[in-house]
Amino acid sequence: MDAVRFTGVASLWSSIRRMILSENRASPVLVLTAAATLAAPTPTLAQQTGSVTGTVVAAHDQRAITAVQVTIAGTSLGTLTGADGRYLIVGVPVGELEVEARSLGYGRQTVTTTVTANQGVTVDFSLAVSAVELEEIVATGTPVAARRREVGNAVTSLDTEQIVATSAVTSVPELLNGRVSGLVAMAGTGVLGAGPRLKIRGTASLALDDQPLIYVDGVRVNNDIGAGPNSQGYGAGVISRLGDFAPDEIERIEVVKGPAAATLYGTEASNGVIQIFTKRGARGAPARWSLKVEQGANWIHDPEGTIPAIWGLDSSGAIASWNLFQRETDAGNNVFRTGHEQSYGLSVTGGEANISYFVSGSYDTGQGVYITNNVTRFNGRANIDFSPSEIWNFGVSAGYVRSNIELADDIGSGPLLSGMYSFPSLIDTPNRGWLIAPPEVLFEREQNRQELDRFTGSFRVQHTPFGWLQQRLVVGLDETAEDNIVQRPFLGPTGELFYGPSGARGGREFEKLSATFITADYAGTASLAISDDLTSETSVGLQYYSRELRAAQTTGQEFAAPGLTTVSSTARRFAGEVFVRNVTVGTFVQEHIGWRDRLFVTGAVRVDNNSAFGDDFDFVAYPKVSASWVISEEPFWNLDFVNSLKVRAAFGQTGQQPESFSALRFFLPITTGLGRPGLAPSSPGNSELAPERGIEYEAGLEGGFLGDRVGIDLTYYHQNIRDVLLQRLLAPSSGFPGVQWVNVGEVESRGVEFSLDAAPIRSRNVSWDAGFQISRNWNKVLDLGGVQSGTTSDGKDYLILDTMLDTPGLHIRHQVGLPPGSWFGQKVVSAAFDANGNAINVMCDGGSGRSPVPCDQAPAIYLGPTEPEWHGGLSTSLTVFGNLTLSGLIDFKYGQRHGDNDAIVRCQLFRICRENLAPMDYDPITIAEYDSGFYSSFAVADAGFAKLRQLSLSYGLPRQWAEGFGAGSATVTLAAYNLMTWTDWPSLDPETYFTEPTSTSPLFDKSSQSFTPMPRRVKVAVRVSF
Amino acid sequence: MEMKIRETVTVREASPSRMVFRFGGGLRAASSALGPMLLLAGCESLLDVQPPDRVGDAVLEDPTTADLQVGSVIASFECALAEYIGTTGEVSDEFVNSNLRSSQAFDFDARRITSDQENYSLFDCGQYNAIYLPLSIAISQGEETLENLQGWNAADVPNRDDLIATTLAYTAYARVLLGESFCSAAINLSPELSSNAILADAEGRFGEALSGSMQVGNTQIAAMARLGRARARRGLGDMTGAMSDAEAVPEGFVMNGNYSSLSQRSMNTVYRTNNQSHFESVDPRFRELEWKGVPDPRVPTRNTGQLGFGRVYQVWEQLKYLSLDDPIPIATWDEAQLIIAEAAGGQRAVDIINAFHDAAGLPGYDPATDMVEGPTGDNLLNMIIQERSRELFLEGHRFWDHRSFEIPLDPPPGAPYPKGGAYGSMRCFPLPDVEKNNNPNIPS
Repeated sequence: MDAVRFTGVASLWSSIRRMILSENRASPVLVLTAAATLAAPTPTLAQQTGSVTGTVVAAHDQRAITAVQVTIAGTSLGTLTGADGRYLIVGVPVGELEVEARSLGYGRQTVTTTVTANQGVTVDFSLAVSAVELEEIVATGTPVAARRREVGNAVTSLDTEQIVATSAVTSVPELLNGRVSGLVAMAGTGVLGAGPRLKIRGTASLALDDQPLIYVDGVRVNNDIGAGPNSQGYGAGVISRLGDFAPDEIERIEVVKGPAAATLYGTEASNGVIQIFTKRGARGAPARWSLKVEQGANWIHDPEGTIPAIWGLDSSGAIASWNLFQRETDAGNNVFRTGHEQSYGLSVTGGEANISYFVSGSYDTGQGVYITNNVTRFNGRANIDFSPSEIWNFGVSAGYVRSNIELADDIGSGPLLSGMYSFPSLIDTPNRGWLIAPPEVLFEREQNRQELDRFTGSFRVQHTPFGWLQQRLVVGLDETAEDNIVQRPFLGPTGELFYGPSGARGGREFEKLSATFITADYAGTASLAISDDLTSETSVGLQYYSRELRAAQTTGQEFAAPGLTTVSSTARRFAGEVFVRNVTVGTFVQEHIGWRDRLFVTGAVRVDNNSAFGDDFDFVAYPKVSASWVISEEPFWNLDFVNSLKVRAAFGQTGQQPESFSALRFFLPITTGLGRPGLAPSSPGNSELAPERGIEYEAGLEGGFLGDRVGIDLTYYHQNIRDVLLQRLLAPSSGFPGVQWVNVGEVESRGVEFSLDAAPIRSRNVSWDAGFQISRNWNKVLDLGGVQSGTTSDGKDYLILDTMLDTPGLHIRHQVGLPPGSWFGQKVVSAAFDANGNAINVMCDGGSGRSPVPCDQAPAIYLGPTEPEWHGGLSTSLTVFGNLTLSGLIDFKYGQRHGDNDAIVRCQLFRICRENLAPMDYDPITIAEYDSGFYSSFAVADAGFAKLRQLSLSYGLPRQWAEGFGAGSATVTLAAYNLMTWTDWPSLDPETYFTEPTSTSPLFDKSSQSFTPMPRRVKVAVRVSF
Repeated sequence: MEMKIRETVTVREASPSRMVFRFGGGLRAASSALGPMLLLAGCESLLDVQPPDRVGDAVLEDPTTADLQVGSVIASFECALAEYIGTTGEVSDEFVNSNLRSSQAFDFDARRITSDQENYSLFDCGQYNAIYLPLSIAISQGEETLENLQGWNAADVPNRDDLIATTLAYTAYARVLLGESFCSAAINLSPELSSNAILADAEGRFGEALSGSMQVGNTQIAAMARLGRARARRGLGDMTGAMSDAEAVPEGFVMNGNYSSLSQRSMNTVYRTNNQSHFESVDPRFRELEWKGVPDPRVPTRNTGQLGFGRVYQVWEQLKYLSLDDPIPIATWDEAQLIIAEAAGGQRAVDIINAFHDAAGLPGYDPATDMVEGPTGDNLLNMIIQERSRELFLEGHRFWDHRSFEIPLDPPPGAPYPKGGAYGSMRCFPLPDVEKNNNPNIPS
């Protein structure tokens, strides 16, 4: 033991010495990690070792490949190649061994070599392009990491490092958008700091949250997409917690999309699972430093030309228009600005004989298009892996985020609302035409901010006591501490003009919110070779997940004087607290059988209990069966143009737990009129409350064709979500307000996902890669279980979710046989003008197969779905001379129809459209709807679009240039985003909508109402590796 | 994974002893699989998550919470009353809607509420235009509290009988408001009940409250119950019984509902929606009222000079309630006097009216010379209706007079409503669809 300790001390000293003496190659974490070696004696250190080094190049052009994973078979030693394609692994046990190189997009290659003590051996690789790589390791949805060939369900894996390197994306949602089949990421607003709502494989739930689970290094994390102060009106935040993670920290992202793949995640996983794997070092790899500097800008393209003017009559009675944005620009008061974005990052990765590390830090700061929209964010991460022996492996991941996001108001107090929805009568007033107040007053009045501290950490132990037994335990924490602030300063007499005496005195809303996610995840797998052909893996697992949210909320109204900023300095103060906790405990057993390494069958069952289940509901069991067959490796296979082909099928179940405490009957404490405590009925509870149960089967194939230059992934899935939770309205006379949760609904979601990756050109000087993915989803409500607002004349039950802007002739409903959250309304189909331009003889659609009827007798008819039916992306990159790459991404979403609230407010309610003034210049049907004040089907418009999301040019400096300033490699990237949109959407941006339910908009409300459009952005990024 | 398989192969090719060990290990692994299962079975304590901000049934079964429960019933009623005044004030003629855009809110102002609408049926305390749900909660919560109180004895709750009488009186008042405003309604998931049935139920409850409060010597609740019964009887057309009860109300009696700015639910909603939010404006018919050229101080209003959000009406504020904390009368001696005046008529009625005028500094009323427009052919009765509208302005009485005397609808049904559509003809709220569709005792 003493000898071992001595070895550890020697290693520590050696590390420190190298750090001090070397020319910047040393790791800053070596002291810490080396110190850790003292605490954990490592007999292997005493073994004789050598090193393996070499270069990895592409077979077609002999150019270096970056970030290739090179590993020593049978050990946990490995590293990644640098930008020059070189690698070095030290501490390699002597003897004959296999060195393997693998990288996404290339075929795997294994070389056998012999390592001798204290000697280096060179192993070079030349990898061929491969659009399909069945040896790729995936870790999501399986108890232990598995090769893609073994997995019976679809898993999308994103090579984040490659995407970031060539397109300089700045957020995880940006990474996902357009690159994952079956996943729709649609931003609700162009305000900097906001994030999108994600939806995988359509709508599974009719009333619960639809966001997928997010994991980081095996730990479940906060997946809130509506965080932050209310900046979208009526109580919605717009910040996505997924946006906290820095793409530069991420190695890859895996997405599993439905119950068939996510069974082992059990309750809460029916919306799919996104797992982020952060970068890790490699044992035996020298320290590699990477530096990133980015500068960028964003702006609204042609606001004066795209934001509609207000129409009215001028002083002479003539029809006139006032473009308030143009007027401000002409007066030198730009409402929008060009925001400046900056990003700086530094990371180091490497390893010693038994320790590896990745440490990074980045600082981002950005300005949005309003002066009240600013973001600063610091990300820090340290991932350390320690392998005292081949039996034990310990890993620590620690990520920290600190950010300050100032969010501009979209609707409510945003300048778009005041500028688009106003009246000519306000032009010659202090408002200068703006409805609520001129822009500078709006900006001064409404200041929304979120300050964030977030820690995401995990500790992982992997234990391999025998070659056939592997266990791992992951314990982790994701702690989010938010300060959400709405600050309305004391404005004084100027403010009184617009907000009245009380409003001008301002106020403050201050929320301190902490969200704690705890994960404890154990899995053990025993491998058994039953015969030469047959292998078995038996896995068991136990998981504990806890999610706790605590918020303290204070609100104060009316500051006494200028300069006061705290709630305690207001005249009227309110306080409250929120507490939500949910706990899941689950266990699973899985059996995985392999036959000749080309046919695999997996069966599993997971059993869960959850704190939100009713007292009379005990537990839920989710079964899973899947099979994978690499048919191209069968002896009978003789199709030469098919290089590899895997067919797969899977069946599985997951769930979605009820909302916390919704099973309980309870009263809420209130304040009585005497200022004393009292109680008010709140929830009738439901002791039989159970999870929603997602049941899915999917089938598909993955194949490589034409010399592995073309890869295809095709999946068909069919989900039935049963026991769907709905809120049954209570008869008010029962004495309980509102609703009772019941498991009564059923939803179907089926679809096809297709992706194609191709490398049509591979030559020494020109490489062209192209990727295309498209998904089609068919989603419909099968049953509402009696929770309904009514039944159509043809016997279809429906449940009205929301009446748009209180316009009775337009609403969103769930209706049996149609997609969840469909648009419905009376639709005017014919009208005529009288001599004065009034619409007369107005008739509405009489419903399916019926003649038009007077509108007051007309049924509400189906106007379309709210969610996209088709979506996908087209990406391509063209590289010439090995170092100049032009890449681009077009993403598209079609089939959805959004509510154009801009049209309703402007033309129907405020009557400030030209149509209101010169009706006879327009279609009488339109005028009839505008004039009705009720029938708003005109506002349900096609929101399909395609966007040139990203176009970038990346130039890798010649190696000798880079070495001229001491770098191993350097890349300069010029990227532009949101350059073009192809759409028929009539208002500002088809991507904008209420991303989060508000006090007036349910989950399915896809309405756009004076939201900030996506700005155009450009960026220059310089990345240097040492 | 591939490496792992290779290792497995290695094991398989190892010595027989290793093979035995492998299977032994397999059994060990299998047994360890049971561990998680057992843990899951024993995880109930992990899953027991109790909300620290909510009260479950166990608390309500504790007799030490009796006062809390009765105080809660009173609070629920007080909230319902304030909501009732604002909501029915719009349908009658005390308020007009001055809000920006809310067609359902306009529908109150335009008298065209239909049974499928949410505001009047599902909105709760603190929301604008709530009526059916707050009243239903006040009744149902009262019934549950009564059941709890009756299940305890005096040893558990020393003031039990007093609390029972108090609860009865408040839940009966909620019934009166429900009966006066709804064409039909349900109580505690009952079958559909007519207005008269609800008022009759209220009358009975008041009787119980009256006898109970007299037994325990609670004169305030006794007077409240007596006047409440008078109001219910008046609604039922029993003017003799109404007058009998009204005459027994002590002079100067006032029972107020209490309000507090500490929470939205407990606020004086009349002040909040009119004076603070400007969602409502005092109807032109109640602005700057005079009697014989003298301003009537009982209906204090002022013009804010500001257009409401709907940009149709200027906002006029009522000045009867001057803050979110101002109390609202539930039952007053003045109300009793007006019931007597209506029931007795003649000189007694004139004397009551002139007593009001003297107190307000207004010229006297002479039925021979002072002609008052109204819904009836009886000049004195028209004057009593007008007096009630002024003396009890924004106290929740105008709607029933509108309904029971069929005060002409102005503007008439069919006239254009300034913010879209036309005026309707409703005089009472319909039984909401949400009640019809979800109450098992009402056939669909």
